[in-house]
Amino acid sequence: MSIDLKQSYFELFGLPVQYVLDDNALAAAFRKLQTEHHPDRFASGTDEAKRIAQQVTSFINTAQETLQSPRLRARYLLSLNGVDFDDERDTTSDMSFLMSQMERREALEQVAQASDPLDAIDELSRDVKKENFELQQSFAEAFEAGQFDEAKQIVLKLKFFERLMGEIKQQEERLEDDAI
Amino acid sequence: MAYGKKVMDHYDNPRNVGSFDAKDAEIGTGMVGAPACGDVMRLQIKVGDGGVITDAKFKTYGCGSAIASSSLLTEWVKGKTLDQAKEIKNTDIAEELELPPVKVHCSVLAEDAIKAAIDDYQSKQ
Repeated sequence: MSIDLKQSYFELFGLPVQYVLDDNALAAAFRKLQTEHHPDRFASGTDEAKRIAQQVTSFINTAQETLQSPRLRARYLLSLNGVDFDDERDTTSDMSFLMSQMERREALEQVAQASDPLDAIDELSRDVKKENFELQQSFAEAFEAGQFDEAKQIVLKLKFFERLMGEIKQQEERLEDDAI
Repeated sequence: MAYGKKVMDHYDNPRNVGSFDAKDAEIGTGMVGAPACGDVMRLQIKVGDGGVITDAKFKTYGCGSAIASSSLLTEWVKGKTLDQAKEIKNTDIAEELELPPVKVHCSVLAEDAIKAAIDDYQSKQ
């Protein structure tokens, strides 16, 4: 059994093509497809059948990872609408945004010196997650209004948040290790 | 990811890390971000008589190559006129640091930062 590798990730999982995602529906559809197309089922098949099974599995996995991530899902939706991304050339020049990113990173550097570092990082983490969530909402609004340039700028900004949240998480783990 | 010797040198001993008061008339501030990786870079120049850059500082939150590119650039621009500093190309930085192709965008970021800093300084005059 094979699947159409040209269909969109949304079609693959039977989900509506929109930014708002039903996490449970995605998880259920993913599990079902994963089971149906598991490479083990084709272990005794021809090399051709094994090769196809691997392609299908990798398609399903990429589709799941893309839709699961709020940033990649946003980027994918734009690319379905003909908006191109060029990692070498795209830039973010919104000064106040970059300034605030810089300040957040400086704040993160300083949490270790706070009187209660875990408290300080909790607060920072909450603020950053809130901002990130608000940014996702503004993406949904811009996308639905067909303002793709604006929506693309938001997707680019989400990457800075992804990076920042990753660094916050690392620092949290370091602080927790130190606290033991 | 393995970094070259020159990148490691700047990474371990970054030159001119810090900041100037961005509101100061003799200071130009360039702030740039790379959405490919989420790096943020701030590069500042202090400009003296005759449009000569007398000092430069940077702060970069990013990978080793981005830190090295901005660190190297602050060394290079000191003593240069604004026009000379504008001439610095990302390829010069990439070549000096022996950046691999996947890290060339870090040197582009540094070039954008110095250009933005010069623009900022000139817009204040």
